Amino acid sequence: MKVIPFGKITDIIPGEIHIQNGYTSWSDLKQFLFEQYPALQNESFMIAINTTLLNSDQNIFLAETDEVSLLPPFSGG
Amino acid sequence: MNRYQRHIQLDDFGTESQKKLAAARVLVIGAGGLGCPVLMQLAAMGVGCLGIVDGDRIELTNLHRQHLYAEKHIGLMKAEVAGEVIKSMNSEVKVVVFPIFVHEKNIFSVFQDFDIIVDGTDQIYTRYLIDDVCIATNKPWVYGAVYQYEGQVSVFNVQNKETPHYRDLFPDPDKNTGAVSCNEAGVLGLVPNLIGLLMANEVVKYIVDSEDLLSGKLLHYHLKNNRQHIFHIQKNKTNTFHPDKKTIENTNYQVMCLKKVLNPSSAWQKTLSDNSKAILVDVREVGEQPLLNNIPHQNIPLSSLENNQNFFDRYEEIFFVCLSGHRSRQAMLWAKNNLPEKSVNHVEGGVFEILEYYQHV
Repeated sequence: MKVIPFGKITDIIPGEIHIQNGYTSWSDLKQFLFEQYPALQNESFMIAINTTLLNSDQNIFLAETDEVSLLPPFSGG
Repeated sequence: MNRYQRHIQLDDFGTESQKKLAAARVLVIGAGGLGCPVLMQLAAMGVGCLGIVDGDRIELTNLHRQHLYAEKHIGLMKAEVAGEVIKSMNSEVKVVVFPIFVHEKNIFSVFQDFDIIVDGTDQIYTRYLIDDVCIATNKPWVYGAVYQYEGQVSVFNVQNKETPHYRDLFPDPDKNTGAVSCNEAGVLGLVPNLIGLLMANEVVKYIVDSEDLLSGKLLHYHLKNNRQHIFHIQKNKTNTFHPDKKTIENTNYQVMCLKKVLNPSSAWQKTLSDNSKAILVDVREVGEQPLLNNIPHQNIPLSSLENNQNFFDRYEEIFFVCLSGHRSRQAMLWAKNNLPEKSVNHVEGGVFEILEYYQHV
C-alpha cells in the first residue's frame, strides 16, 4: 500500500512511501509509522483511505492496494 | 456591447446567471494572499456587492502574492486599499469596507448583510469561529488554506446542518495548534493565487446554482507536482455542537483552539516573574495578531534579530515566542550561536500559551 504525506507531515515523512509487508488495519500501520517516524506522534492529522477522510482515531481495515493520505490542518492564507 | 458579453454568450451561463452575480452579496474575510485573488475575480466577473474585512496594514513581504497592492501602498490599511482598487477595476460593484479584524463580538454584525462568506484568514481559530457563525446564521462559506506549495478548498454549510462543516474536516480545535501561517512557514506567491481562483470559482458556482460544488469534498492541490486530490468529507453524526449567537459571543475561540494540557514545566512563567534580567521577545512581525497587549515583552521580528543584537546586552535570560513555536525555535537557535553567554529558551505553545496563562493570573 501507499502512504502519502501532506503539508507539514512532509517534514517528517518526506515523500510517498510504499509498504510491502501488508498491514491489515490502520492501527497496525499507525504503529509501524510511529516506530519509523517517532515525530509523527506529536502531530495531529486526519487520514484518508483512498478518497474518503476518516478521523485518525478510527480503526479500519486496509487492502494491499489502498492509498493512505495523512492530512494535517492547514491554516495559511 | 455588454461588459459581460463573454459570460452571456456561454450557453449554460447567459443573462440569467449574470443577473444572479449582480444580485449577490459576498463577504471576504481577510484581504491577503487568498482574499486578493478572490476579490479581483469576483469584482471583474460582476458580483454586485463585495464586503472586505481586514484589520491589517500592507507590508513589503505581502507584495509577492497579494496583487491588489503596490509598493506605494505599504503601511496603508489593506481593506481600504483593496476597496479602492476594486472600485477602479469595476465601478458597478458596490464595495463595503471593514478595516477591522473579526472577533466573537463583532462578527454577527459584519456578516449581517451578506449571503455567502469567503475565508481568506491566516489562523485556525477564525475558521472555527466562521464555521459556527455560518451555522448559527444559516450562511454557506468557502474555505481555503495554503501551506508552502500546497493548498486546499472546500465549501461548508451549503444546506444548513445537512452538509459537512469545518468541524467534520478537523473535529478537534485543541489539536490543531501545530498549524502554521504563511508568515511562519513561507509560501510560494503562486499558491494562494491559484487557491484563491478555485475559491472564487466555488463562490460563482454557488451563486449561479451550479452543480458539483465542493460541498462535502476537500480539493487538495500540490503545485510542485500538479497533483490534485479530491477527498470526501464524512458528516460526523455525533457532532451536534451548534452554538447559538450568545454562546459564540461568550466563547474565546483563541483559547478554545489551545492545546488542552499546557506544559506545566514551562520555565518562562516562573523566570519572567522572578528575574528582572529576563525578557520575553515576540519574534513575529510587527502588528501580527493576536497582540500581547498588557503583557511585558519586546517585539523584534525574527528577520531583525541580527540588527538588534545590542538590545540583549542588559538581559541574562531570553524567552522567544511566536505564533506556533516555529519561528521562536529558529530565534532560539540564532541566540545560542550569537549570544552564547545568555540563557535562551522559547515558548513551545506560542502566543496562545502566554495569553492563556495571563488570563488565569
